[in-house]
Amino acid sequence: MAEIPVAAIQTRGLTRDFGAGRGLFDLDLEVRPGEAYGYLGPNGAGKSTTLRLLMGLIRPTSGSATIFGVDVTRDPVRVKAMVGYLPGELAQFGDMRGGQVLSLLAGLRGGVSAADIRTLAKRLGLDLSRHYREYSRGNKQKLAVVAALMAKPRVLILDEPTSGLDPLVQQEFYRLIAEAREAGATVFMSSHVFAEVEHTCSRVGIIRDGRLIRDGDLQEIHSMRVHRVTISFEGDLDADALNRIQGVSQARVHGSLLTCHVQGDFDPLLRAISGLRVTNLVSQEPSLEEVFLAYYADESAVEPVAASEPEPETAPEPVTEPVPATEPPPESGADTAPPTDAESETAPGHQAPDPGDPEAHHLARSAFRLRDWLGSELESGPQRLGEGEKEGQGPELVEPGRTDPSAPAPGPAEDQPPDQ
Amino acid sequence: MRRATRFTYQAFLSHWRGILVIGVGFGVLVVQQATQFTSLFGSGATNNADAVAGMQSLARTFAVAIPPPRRVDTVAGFVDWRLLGASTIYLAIYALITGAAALRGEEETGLVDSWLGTGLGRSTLVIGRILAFGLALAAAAALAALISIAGTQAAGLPLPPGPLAITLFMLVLPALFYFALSMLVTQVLPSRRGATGLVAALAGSTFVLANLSYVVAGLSVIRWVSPFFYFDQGHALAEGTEPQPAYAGALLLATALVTIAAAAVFRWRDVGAPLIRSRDRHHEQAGHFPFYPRRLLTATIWELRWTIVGWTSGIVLLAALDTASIKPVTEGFGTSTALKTYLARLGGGESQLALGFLSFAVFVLGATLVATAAINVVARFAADQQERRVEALLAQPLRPLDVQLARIAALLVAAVVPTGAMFVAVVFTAKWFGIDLHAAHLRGATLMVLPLALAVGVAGVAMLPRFTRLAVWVLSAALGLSVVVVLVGAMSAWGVPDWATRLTLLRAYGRPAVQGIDTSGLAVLLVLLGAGLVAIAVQARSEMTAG
Repeated sequence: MAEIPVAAIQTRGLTRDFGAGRGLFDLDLEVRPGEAYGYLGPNGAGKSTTLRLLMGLIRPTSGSATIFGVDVTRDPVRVKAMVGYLPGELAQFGDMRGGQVLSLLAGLRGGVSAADIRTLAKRLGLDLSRHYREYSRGNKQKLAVVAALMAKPRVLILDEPTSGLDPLVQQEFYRLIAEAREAGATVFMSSHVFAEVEHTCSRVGIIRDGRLIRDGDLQEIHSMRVHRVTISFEGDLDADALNRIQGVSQARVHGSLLTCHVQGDFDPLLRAISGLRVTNLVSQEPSLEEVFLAYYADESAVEPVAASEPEPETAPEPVTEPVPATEPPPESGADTAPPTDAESETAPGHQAPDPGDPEAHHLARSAFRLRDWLGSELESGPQRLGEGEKEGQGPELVEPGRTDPSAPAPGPAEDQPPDQ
Repeated sequence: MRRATRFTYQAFLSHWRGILVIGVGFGVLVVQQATQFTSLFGSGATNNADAVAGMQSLARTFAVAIPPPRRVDTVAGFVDWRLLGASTIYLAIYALITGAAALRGEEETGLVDSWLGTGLGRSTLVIGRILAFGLALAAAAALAALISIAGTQAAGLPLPPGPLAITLFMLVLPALFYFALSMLVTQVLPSRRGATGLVAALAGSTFVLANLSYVVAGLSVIRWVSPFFYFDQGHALAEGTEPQPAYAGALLLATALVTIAAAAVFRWRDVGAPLIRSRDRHHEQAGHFPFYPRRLLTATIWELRWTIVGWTSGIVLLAALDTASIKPVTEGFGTSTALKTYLARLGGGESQLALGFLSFAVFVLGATLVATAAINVVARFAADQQERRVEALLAQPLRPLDVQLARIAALLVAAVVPTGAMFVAVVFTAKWFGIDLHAAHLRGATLMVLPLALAVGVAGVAMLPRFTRLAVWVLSAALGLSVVVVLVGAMSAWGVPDWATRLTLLRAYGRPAVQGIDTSGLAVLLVLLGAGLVAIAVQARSEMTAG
C-alpha cells in the first residue's frame, strides 16, 4: 500500500483575530515537501502573523496548522525541532557577541556543529567575535540567517529573509536556500518583493488584509511585473511609436533619455531600439508593496473584476496623462492606434491618479492590472491551480478599459508574441 | 534654533516619570521627616538636649554616609540632616544611570541616528540632552518644594519656605553634574556598563570624601573635587546658615565644562562606537566561540550575574554597616527618652532596642531590598520579551513553560544569593563586634526573606506573558506602598489602621528577628507564591510576545 504523502505545511481555516479587522483569517494552505513557497503581501497584510502561528509563537483563534503532520499548537516543541525560523523582527542581544548568541541558540536546539556555524558565517561574511550591538542591520540579519540554517532543518520558515542584506550577500543567501532545497528542505518565505520570491520560490501565495487571495504558480507572477526603464541613447526615437509596442507604456523621450514602463517581456522594446547606441540602461521594478499601496489608496476602489470594465461614455473624470487604457488583444497589438483621452479614462469608482504625477499614475495602472489579476479572488476567496485554469498557465487578465469582456485577454508575458 | 528647542523639549518630556517620582517622593518625605521631628523633640529642654546629643553620636557613627548635623534641634536642621544631605547620592546614582542610557543607550536603538538625521547638530544633541535633564530636575525640585511647603504649612510646622525651595533646587545640582559626567565617560570607554560602574564608583567615593572631610582633617584639602561638598556648603536650610551662591555657581560651571567635553567627544567619535574601542578577539578564527552557557537554565542565570552581584554587594554592605552600628546607635540614643521611644517603634519595644534596630535596619530593610531585586529581575525578563530575545529562544525546540521555569529558578538564585550573603555578613559582623544574636530568630528572619522575594518575583513572572509592560509597575507599587505603610508609618507613628497594614507585603514578612516567624504571615506569602505558580502552570501554553 502506497504511503500517503504528508504535506510539509498545512493549514485549515487558520485564524488569528486581533480585532478591528486585523489578523489572519481562514487560511487554507498546503505546501508540499521540498517545495519553496513565497508568501507575498504588503506590510500589515498578515504575513508575519502566519509565520508566527506556524512557529507556535502565537496561538490561533480558530483553525489548525501542521508541519509534517505535527500540530503546531499541540506539539510546538516537535515542530520547532524540524524548523529553522528567521523572524521578521530581530531580537536585540545587546552585549552578547555574535558567536555567543549562536552558541546559545545551537545549545538550546542541539545537534548543531560549530563547524557548520563557522562555515555559514564565513559564507555570509559575518564576524562572530563582535558584540551584537555593534552589528549593522545587515549583519544582524546575517546572524539570523545563520541561526535559521545552522541546524539543517527540514523546514525553513523565513520572514523577509533578505531584508537589510546587500546584493552580494543576497546572492549567497539564494545559494544557501538552493542548497537547502537540494538537501530536501521545504521553504516557506514571506516577502513583499517580487524579485526575492522569484529567486527562491516555485509557488506563491498572496495575502491581503489577512486573507489569502491568490495561491498559484510563480509563472503567474511574471505577467504582473512592470519595470520602470530609463535608457540613455544616441540617435532619434519616437515616443509614440514606442508606446505602441506590446508591453511598453508611458514612453517619453527627453533629448537622449528615454523613460518608459515595460510589462512582461523586454524583447519587443530591445528590438525597437536595436538600431541605436545605448549608453546606459536602468530597469527598476516597483515593489509589490508599492503596487498594493497604489491599489488600495482608496478603499472604495476595491471592487471585483467587473470594476475593471469601464464604460467610456459614463466615465467620470478624464485623465490628462495619456494612458493606454485599452490595450490591444495579442493578435492586433501592433496595429492598435495610440490611446485617446476618452480611452484613457479611469474605471467607474476608481480614483484617478494625480495627473501631474506619472509615477503615481503608473503605479495605479499597475495596480489596476493586479486588481484584474486578483479580481475574482477578492470576494470568492483563494483560487488554486486546477480550479478554473490550466497548469502552467496564468489566470485570465482583463485589461482596464477593455470594452468587450468576452474578448480574448492577453495571457502571461511568456505567452505573448515576441514582437508585435 | 527651533529644532534644538524642539529636541530639548522632547528630551525634557522623556523624564516625566523621574520628575513625578522625585518631586512627589521628596515632597512627601520632607513632610514626613518634619512630622517626625515633633515626635522626637519638644517634650522639654532636657529631652531636647539629650536628643541632640544622641543624634550627634549617631552622626559620628555614620560620618561616612551623612554630612555633620547642624541645628538638629530645629525642624529645618533635622530635615536637612536626616533627609536631604544623604539623599544627594541617591539622586546622583539615578542621574548617572540615566546619563549612561541617554546617549550611548539611544545610539544602540538607533534613536540618535534618527535625531541626527533631522539635521540636529551633534553638540546641540548633547547640550540639549543635558539641559533637558537639568530642566527636569528643576521641575522635580519645584514640585517637591510645592508639596513640602504646602504640607508643612498645613501642618503648622516651622520650615522656612524660601530656604527649603532653594535647598531643593541645589540638591539636584550634583545629580546634574553626574548626568553630564556619565554622558562623557560612557562615550569614551569601550564598555557602557564599565563606564557606568566607574562613574558610580566616582560618585560614591566623592560622597564619602565630602562627608569624611569634616572629621578627617587631611581630607579637607581635596574635598573641593567632590560635587557633594558644593551642595553641602552652598545650601542653607538650618537656622544660622547662609546660602553661598558661589558654590552653586562653581558646580554649574563644572557641569558646563563636562558638558562641553561631552559635546566635543561626540563631535569627534563615530556614532555607535565609543572613543576607545575594545580590541576584537577573533575567537572563531582559533576555532572557539566566546563562552556562553548553552542551556536555558544556566543561560538565564548567567544573564543575571551582574544584577545578582550588584544587589548582593549592596545588601551585604548595608547588613554589615547596620550590624556594626547596633551598639553605637543604641548606646548613643540611650540617654534620650525621645530617641529611645523612636527606636522602640522599630519593632523591639523598650526592652529590646538593639534587636529592634537589627530587625528594622538589617532584616526588614534587607527583605525589602531582596524583594526589590526580585522586581529588578522581573524587569530584566520583561526586557527579554520586549526586545524579542524570548522569541529567539522560543524559535528553538522549547516550550514557553520551559522559559518560565528557568525564570523561576533564576529568581530563586537571585533571591537566595543576597539573602545568604546578608546572613553571613550579619553573623560575621556581629561576632567581630561582640554582639550576641538570637540564632533561631536570626535564621528565621533570614529564611522569611525568601518567601517574600519569591512571592513578589513569581507573581511578576506569572504576569509577564500577558502584562509584560505592567508587571514591574504593579509589583513596584505594591512593594512601595508596603514600605510607606509599614516602615515609614511605623517610624513616624502615623497610626495606620491595622487592616491597612495587613494588606501589605512587609506585614506578612513581620518582625521575625524579634518575634520569630509569624506563621500567618508566612502562610500569606506561601499562598501568594502558590497562586503565582498555579497561574504560571495554567498559562503553560501562553504566548510570550514582545508585549
